[in-house]
Amino acid sequence: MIEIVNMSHRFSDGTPGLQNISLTIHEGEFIVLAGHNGCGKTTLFKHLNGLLSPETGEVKLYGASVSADILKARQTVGLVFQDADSQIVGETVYADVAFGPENLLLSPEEVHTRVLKALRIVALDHLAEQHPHKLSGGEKRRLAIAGILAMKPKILVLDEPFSNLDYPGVLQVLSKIDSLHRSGKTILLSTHDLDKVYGYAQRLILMKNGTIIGDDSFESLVHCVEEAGLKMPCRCGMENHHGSYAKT
Amino acid sequence: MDHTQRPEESFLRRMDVRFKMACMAFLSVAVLGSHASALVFLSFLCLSLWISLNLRFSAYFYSIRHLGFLLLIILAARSFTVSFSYPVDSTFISFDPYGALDGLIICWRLVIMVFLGVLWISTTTSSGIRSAVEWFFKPLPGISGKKVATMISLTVRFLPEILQQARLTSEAQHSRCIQNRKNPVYRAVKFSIPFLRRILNKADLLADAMESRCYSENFRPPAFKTKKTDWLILGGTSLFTGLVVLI
Repeated sequence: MIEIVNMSHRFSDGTPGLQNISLTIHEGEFIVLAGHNGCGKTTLFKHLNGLLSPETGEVKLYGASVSADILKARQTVGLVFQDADSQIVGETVYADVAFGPENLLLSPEEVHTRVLKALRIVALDHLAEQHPHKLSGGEKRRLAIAGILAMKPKILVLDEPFSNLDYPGVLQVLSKIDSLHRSGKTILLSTHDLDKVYGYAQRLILMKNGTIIGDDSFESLVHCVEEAGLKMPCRCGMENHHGSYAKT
Repeated sequence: MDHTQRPEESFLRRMDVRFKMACMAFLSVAVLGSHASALVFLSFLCLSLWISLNLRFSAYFYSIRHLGFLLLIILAARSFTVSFSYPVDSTFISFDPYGALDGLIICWRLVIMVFLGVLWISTTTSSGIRSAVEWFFKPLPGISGKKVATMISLTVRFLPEILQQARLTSEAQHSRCIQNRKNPVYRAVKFSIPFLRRILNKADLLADAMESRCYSENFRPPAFKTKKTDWLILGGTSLFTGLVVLI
């Protein structure tokens, strides 16, 4: 579904952002992209829907280059940004969700149907007339997800969806992501806190300094996360501890 | 100001935004040219609209409480005249009743303008404003109505963000005792550079977010619904303005 071939990116000041990234994402996967701050996760995501263009290499979506049809890429790959506040453009919850479908020049009836459906999925339908800036952190993140869902993307890319959220907020967002995955959406999510996605994600990709240093199933790679400068999930640490205790 | 007090079923809310905008323009001209009798009529009009919309007086008055100081200054400036004698040995301040009346009229006009503004904000969505602006600019050559409309809607969208960033920057600097620095230039420089950097950064993020949701200038053309009452209200407003200007 997404194929990244030997892609590199350099920022305008000459700093290398990504180096020789090669990656294939299959339909229906739940992938976690993990790495410390500044390792290139957001930069990689921005290439997936054409917000950035690679210096070398190529990003392919269903076999076609993203740069060949950026509009299609943006419909197919829905990107939820780390800062939900910056993603909000509407003056009401409803208007914000309608922003994407309206840009696709859909009929008002279709826009209305999609907005209501997306709001229902993220359980924000009762707040449709609310001003978005009055929502809680978790609700804002769900609104950002709804804004993307209304465009009916096949892949949902979430950049640090749990950052700045309290525990109930994390639970709200995580349960919605999980149910979206169960409904057949492909999920690509970045985080540096693997505790939250333990038990949900199927595949783990580790990044460090703009390169991929590991790509395997979540369970097999989670023990090596400290190499990428990340904290091992508590549950995983406990298992290791019990394992070594049993051996002695 | 709380923009969420939006009475859904008011006739002002249902009114075609283009007509509402034209009525606002006419009424603004009428307010500027009005004297006491016309101002009484306009005050009653504003008050009855306000009551019909069921808006909370207290919340709005609290939001615009600082306007009271401006009105007082205007009134004081108009009410008192200062005469100087030459050579400068004495200054005489006297109360001018005609000036005070003049000041009262100006303050009254300003209050009505504020009332009209609140009615406009409370019953019009920014997407509606955007659509109306786009429509009005359409026949003008050399100006892209879509661009102007986008700039307006983005400004409306971005204002709370700018205010929040200003508050955060100010709080962060106060927590490090910026108030001990008495030099206003130093304080202005130390405030404005990080503030502008934050705002530009936010603007970049917003642009990225809009682009990723397929934003383009070819926005779907707005659908306006004009009713007979819209024409009647516009006719009445323009007639009233004409009378105020001519008499």
